[in-house]
Amino acid sequence: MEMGVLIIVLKAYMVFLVFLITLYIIRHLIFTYNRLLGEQRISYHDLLDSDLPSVSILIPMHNEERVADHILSSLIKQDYPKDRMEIIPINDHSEDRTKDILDEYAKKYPYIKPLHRLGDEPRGKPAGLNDALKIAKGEIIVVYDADYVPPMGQLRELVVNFVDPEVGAVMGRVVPINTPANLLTRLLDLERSGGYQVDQQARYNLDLIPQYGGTVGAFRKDLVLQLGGFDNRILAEDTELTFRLFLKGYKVIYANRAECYEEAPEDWRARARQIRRWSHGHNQVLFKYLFPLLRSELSFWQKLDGILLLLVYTVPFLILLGLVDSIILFFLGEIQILSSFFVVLSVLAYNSFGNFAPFFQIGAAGYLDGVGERLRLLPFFYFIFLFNLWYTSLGFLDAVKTSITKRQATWHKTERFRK
Amino acid sequence: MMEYILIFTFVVLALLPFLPGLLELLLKRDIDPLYIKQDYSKDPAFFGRSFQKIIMETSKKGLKKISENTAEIVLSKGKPEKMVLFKNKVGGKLSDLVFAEGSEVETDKPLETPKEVIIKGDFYIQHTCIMRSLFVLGDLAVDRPLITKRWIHVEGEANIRAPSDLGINFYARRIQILVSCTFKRMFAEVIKIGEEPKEEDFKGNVSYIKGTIKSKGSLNIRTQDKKLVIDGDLISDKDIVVEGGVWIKGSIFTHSEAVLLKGVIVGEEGKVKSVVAKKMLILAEGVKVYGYLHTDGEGKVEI
Repeated sequence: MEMGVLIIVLKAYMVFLVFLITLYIIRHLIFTYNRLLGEQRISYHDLLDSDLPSVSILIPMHNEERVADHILSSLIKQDYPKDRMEIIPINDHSEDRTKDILDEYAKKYPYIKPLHRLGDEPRGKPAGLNDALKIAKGEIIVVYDADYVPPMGQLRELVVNFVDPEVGAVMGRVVPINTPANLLTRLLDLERSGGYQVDQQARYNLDLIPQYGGTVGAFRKDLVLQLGGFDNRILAEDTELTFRLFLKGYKVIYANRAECYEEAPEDWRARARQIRRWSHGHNQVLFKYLFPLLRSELSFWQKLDGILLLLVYTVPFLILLGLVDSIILFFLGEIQILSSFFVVLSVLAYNSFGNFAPFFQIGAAGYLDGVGERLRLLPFFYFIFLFNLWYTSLGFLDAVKTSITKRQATWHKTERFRK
Repeated sequence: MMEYILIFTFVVLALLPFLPGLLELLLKRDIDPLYIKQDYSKDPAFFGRSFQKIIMETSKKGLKKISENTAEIVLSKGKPEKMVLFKNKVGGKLSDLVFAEGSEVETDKPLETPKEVIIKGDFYIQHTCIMRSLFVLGDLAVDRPLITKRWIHVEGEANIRAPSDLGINFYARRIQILVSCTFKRMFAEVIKIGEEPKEEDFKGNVSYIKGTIKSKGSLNIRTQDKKLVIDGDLISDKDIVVEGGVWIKGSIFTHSEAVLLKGVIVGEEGKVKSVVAKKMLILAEGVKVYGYLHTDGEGKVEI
C-alpha cells in the first residue's frame, strides 16, 4: 500500500515537471516567434533632447586593477555633457592597485569621485551601491560592472528613456568581448544573444517583465531611495529591483540598441561560482517576492511571466529531482507514465533547459545578429545543460539555507581574465 | 561482432551532432565578438559630417584631376570614384559624383545622378533633381522637385518650395517647407511648415499643463479659442493628434502615428526636442518644431 502511494507521488511529480517544462517551452516559442515575426517595440533611443537629467555612474569594484583603466577611459569619452555627469567608482575593500588607479583618475577628472569602502563596512555589490546612493548627486543612476566597456553614446541611449514617467529602470544589452577565448566564452556569447536579442526584447514587446540586469542599466535614484535602497542580504539586487519596481507600478524598459561589451568568464570554475551566486540571489528574490507578485495588481500575463522568471533558477533543481525520480521509477518498473508522448516532451524539455535560452531562441538571435558558423556550436549546450543543472541547483540550496538561517550571504566576485 | 558494430554505430550517431561544432572550434571561422561601434554617438548630421570629413581630407591633398571637368575622389569604400566638376551651373544626366565649386550654384537643366552631389556654396534648384545624396555648404532653395534617395545635408538654411522626397535624413541649420514633401528624419534648429505659429500668441487666455502626459490609448489634443501650453512631453502607445493653438515645450513620442495640425509648436528656441512616431508622422501647414523629426514609417508634410 505504502509503495503504491510512493509510486503515485513519484509519477505525479513527473507529470507536474513535464507540465512545467512544457509551459516554459511555449513561453520561449512565443518569445522567438514574436521576435522574428511580431511587431517590435522600440525604446525611446530615437529621441533627441537637449534637456538631459543629471547622471551618477556607479561602478562597484573589488580588486579590479586589470579592468579599471578600461572602463574609466571609456566613460570619460562619453558624449554626455560633463557638467551633468559624475562617475563614482566604488572601491569595495580592494587589496590590489584599484585604489591607486581610481585616485589617479580622480586627480585628472574632477567628475570622477571614487568611494573607498574599507575596514568593517559590509562587502558586496548591494552594500556598495547603497553607500554610493547616499553621496550620488544625479537624478538618474547608471550602473556598470567593472569589466564593461561602454561605447561613446551609451549614457544618452540609456538615460533618454526616463522621459517616460512610468519607467523606473532601463536595461541595455550585454555582449561578450572575449568571445574568441575558448569554448566556454563562445557558448556564453550565444547564450547572451538568445537571452537579450530575443528573450528580453520579446518581453518588452509583449509588455511583460523585462529584467533590469544590474549592469548596463539605469534607474531613478529617488525611487530606489524611497523603496529603501538595496537589500544587503540579497545577492541578486538587480532581479529584486525589477520586481520591486513592477510591484510599485513602474516599468523596466529594455533598450536593445544600448549594447555594451563585457568580459565573460573564461574558466569553468569562475563560471560555476558566478552561476551559483546568480541562482542563490535569484532564488532569494523568489522566496521574497512570489506571494507579493501573486497578490499584485499586475496583469495576468505579467504575473505569469513574473512567476516563470522567478522560477528560472529553481527549475534546474526541479529537473534534477525529476532525473532522480525517473531513475527510481525505472528500477520500480513504473517508468511508463505517458508512453512515447512523454519521451517527446522530455526531448523538448532538454531543448528548453539546455541553457538559459533554448536552442531555437539562440538560433533566432543568431539570425537577427547576422552570425553564421558559430551556431554550429549549439549541440555543445548539452554540456552547459548538465553544468547549469548542477551549479544552479547548488545555488538554490544555498538560498534555502540562507533563508532558513537568516545568515548574511557572502558575495563572491567573478574573476577577471583580461591581460 | 554484432554488438561491436552496434556500439560503434551508437557512438558515431551520438557524436554526429557535435561534428559541425568541432569543425568550427578547430577552424574558428566565426569567432569575433559581435560588433559594437565604440565611437557611436547619435548625431542627426552624421551622414553629412562623415561625408564632409572625406571631402575636407581630399581638398587638403588637392583634387586629383583626370581631365578638365573630371577628378577622382576616394570615398568610404576605398576605391577612387569619378567626380564631374562644375562651376556655377549644374545639370545633365550623369552617372558620377557631382561637385560644383561656385559660391552661388544653380541648375541650368534637370540634374540626375545615382551618386552624391556636392555644392561648395549656395544651391538654387530650378529644375528637377534626382540624386543619391546632397551636400550643400551654403543655403539651399528648392523651386523644382528634388528627389533624394539617401540624405541631404545643408550647412545653412533650406527652403523647400517644390514637392520633394527629402530622403532618409535631412539636416540643415534652419528648414522651411512650403509644399507637400516626404521624409524619414529631419533635424534643424527650427523646422517651419508653411506659415509658422508664433510663441508671442501664447499669452493672455492660455491654459497651462505642467508635466508629461502619457496615454496607453490614442491621444487627441485639440483647442479652439483658448490656447494651451504643455510644459512637458506627450507619450502614447497609440496615435497622437494635436491641433489648434498648442505649444508642447517637450518632445512627442508614439509607437504608432502622430499628426500635427495647424497651430502646433513643439520645443523652444535654443533647445532640441523631438517628434518621434514609429509608424507615420504627418505635419500639416502651420507647424513649428525646434529640433528633430523621426519616423521609421512614412513621414509626410501635407500642405
